Amino acid sequence: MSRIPDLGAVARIPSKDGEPVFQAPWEARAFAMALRLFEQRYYTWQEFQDHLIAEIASPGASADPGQGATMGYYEHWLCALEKLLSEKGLVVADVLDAKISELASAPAPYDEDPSTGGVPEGHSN
Amino acid sequence: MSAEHHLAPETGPALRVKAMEALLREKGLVDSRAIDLLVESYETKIGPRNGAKVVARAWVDPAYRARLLHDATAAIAELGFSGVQGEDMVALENTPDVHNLVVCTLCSCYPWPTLGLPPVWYKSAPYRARAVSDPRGVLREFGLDLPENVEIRVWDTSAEVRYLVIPERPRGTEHMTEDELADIVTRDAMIGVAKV
Repeated sequence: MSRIPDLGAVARIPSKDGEPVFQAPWEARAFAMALRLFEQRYYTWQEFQDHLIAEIASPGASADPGQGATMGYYEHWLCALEKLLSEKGLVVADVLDAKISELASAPAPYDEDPSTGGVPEGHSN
Repeated sequence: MSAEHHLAPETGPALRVKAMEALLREKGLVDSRAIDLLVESYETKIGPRNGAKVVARAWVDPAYRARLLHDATAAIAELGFSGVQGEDMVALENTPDVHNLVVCTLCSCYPWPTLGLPPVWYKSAPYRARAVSDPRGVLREFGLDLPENVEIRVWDTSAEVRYLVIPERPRGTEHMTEDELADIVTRDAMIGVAKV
């Protein structure tokens, strides 16, 4: 049967108390955004959780006991948040896609501040 | 979908998260500083040290232990560890005959105010499945080989209830202060995959 993923092998971090809470900055932002919107009552936690459960259970969500299952958790979280926000009309999918394209095509070598959205002011293309 | 340019600072989920935060900020739905503070909170302040203090208090104070087992939410609040995902707590007492193990089979429900955010393995498909179907095997994989006569109770976190395992106090700790006791209580013991 599938093994519990060994943290040391899969994620190369110690498997005791004290391993990093988030594996990448984007995971932390995704987590905090979901929590902040809940705190402000844009949705109930049950609504978010229902979406998260659906993402985790969806065919194509990896059941591979190796990297896929463990590394995919916050991807599921992000998909759940995107779907919930779209459902609530807060961030609809095509507006999000447009923003992604905008950020992807903007050069940002001088942008050190994650809160400016990746487009430095006064910087011409 | 997204046009990924070779000058893009991030790709994939990092880019999607950045876009989402930018839109939410533009619409006035989130403040980036508030996001920063939450991240800092969960990275540095909210963690298993909180739960360890609850356990240590239960070990040294039988009246506290009784309150904890009767109404864990209130008892944990006495130590100041209330908050999101800790609104409805149940404390599970390990004894020589009963060992408790906690899992969330569907996602990753976990008592954030006492334990912080769950470790990667707790969220993994194998743990979520095998904690219920083969708890003794799971514990063995974590290095805990319990005698057959010890009953293993598996608690599948659902709805609002969040579980905190109160591990047995090890022998030879009678001389330790409450702070020293809190030092030896591990996150894994409060989930139930280890003893102290």
